[in-house]
Amino acid sequence: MFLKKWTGNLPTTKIGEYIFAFLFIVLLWQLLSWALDISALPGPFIALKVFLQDFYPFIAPHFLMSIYRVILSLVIALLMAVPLGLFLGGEKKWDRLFSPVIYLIYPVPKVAFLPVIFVLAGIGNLSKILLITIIIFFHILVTTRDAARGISPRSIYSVLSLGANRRDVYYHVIFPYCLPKILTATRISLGTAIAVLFLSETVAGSTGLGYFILDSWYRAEYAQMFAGIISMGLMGLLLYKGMDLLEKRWCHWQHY
Amino acid sequence: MTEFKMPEIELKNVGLVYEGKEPVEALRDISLKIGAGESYSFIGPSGCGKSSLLFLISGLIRPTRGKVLIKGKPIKKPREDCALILQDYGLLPWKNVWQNTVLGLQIRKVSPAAQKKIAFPILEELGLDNFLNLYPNQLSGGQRQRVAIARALALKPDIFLLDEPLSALDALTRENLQELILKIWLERKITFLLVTHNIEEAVFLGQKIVVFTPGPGRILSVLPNPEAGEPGYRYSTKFHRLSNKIRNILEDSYLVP
Ligand SMILES: Nc1ncnc2c1ncn2[C@@H]1O[C@H](COP(=O)(O)OP(=O)(O)O)[C@@H](O)[C@H]1O
Ligand SMILES: [Mg+2]
Repeated sequence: MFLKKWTGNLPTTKIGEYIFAFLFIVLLWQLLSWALDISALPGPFIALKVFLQDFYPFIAPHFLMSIYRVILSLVIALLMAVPLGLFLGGEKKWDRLFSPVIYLIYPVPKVAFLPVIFVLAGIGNLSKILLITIIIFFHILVTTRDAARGISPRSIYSVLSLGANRRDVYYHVIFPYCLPKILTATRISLGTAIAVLFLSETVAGSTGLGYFILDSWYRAEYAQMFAGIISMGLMGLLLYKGMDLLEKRWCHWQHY
Repeated sequence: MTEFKMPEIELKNVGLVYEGKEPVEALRDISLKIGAGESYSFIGPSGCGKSSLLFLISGLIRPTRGKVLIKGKPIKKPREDCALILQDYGLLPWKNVWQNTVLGLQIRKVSPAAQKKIAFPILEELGLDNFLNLYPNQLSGGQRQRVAIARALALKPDIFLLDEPLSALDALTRENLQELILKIWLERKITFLLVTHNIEEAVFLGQKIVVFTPGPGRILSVLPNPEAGEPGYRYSTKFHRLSNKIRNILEDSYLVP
């Protein structure tokens, strides 16, 4: 009973806790900026002031462009990786055929393909979305496949004995069984996605928060640079919270 | 003149070997004829192939040797008139009581309105109508088993296969559910096959009791038990005498390999 209550409350973070975390970071930041006393690390209040002043109209377009790139990449990667992962996890023969390919490609750091992708897909939106998609795709593919492999044949038997065909088994058993693990994998991928996004936006192009941060840096506008970093943090927070909401909506049965 | 009656379920020299790196022989030379509306208990040590036998009859797996006939027809895939309740109930944790109960109907493309018409009276009968929105891990073991029973009954089966339905339950819940299962059998006259490793349960619920050898499972003996289902049978001397007899058969079977 106690345990249930405790774990049941675990995923939710209260507003108060966020305020506390925020104040803590501001304090640490302030202390560090006093201690170092260099122009590249302005205090938090000047950075926040610039953030509030500049967000609209200067940062917002970059912010929207970045979040658009991350979400679109996530959606494309999920749409491709989840069905394929479920299929490979459910069909042993196909899995045996494909798994050497996956094992060879999976460990290669896909960021290494960045130059190739820029050459092939240009320096616009397409190449950035492509790169993030490829990286997340493999992570979600492998997680989904491994999850689907882990289902015991007997839990499928119960549905088969009700007259289920293959489609029913995927719909009623394999997909819902894997969904929490897919969402966890997506959440972990999100960190990677944002890192790769930043990298790709700083390498080429003139849009996105990565570009904004780097450009401010070139112009030695350090307060503005930090306003960009704050925006990046905000974007991460929004995306993670979004994932939390989806998890709660789709996997609430897990928390009883 | 005796009328010829086709057995509801017929096993002809059935053998089952699970293929793999090390093949496992689960069942050997099982022959059995089960009439419509009869109730059978299967009892035997763990690993002797009892679950496998139910999988064979429900059409989930195919025998390596021999034949499984239901209503005279060899079985190729799960049949609409046959319901199986697995050892761990086979409920889906991501579906609530209602969704789990109507799952079979949903798979058979029964309309939602008809699902309600069929499932609700059953859930009421089983005392589950107040728990429709709860998920399996919010339920007690006994309630979970009732949901599994409700899901099977919703399909109006002619053949009802239960794999150790009560083994994970406490004594009181167990007796309650034994009574419930008995009532279902008496009222609906379904063919009942019940796997158990509890001797009293086998005697309480089965008109015939099939005792298996340790794996690979063979039929050691089939004991008639026509009094099963009569009121007060559990407390009669006959009940205890038969229980003891089965206990002795099982104990001997362990000694003689
Ligand atoms: N899918 C399987 N693959 C290989 N061996 C299996 C499989 N399922 C069951 N067995 C083996 O077959 C034998 C009978 O299993 P089972 O039918 O579950 O027995 P019981 O229900 O009587 O405990 C056991 O030795 C078990 O390990
Ligand atoms: Mg078993």
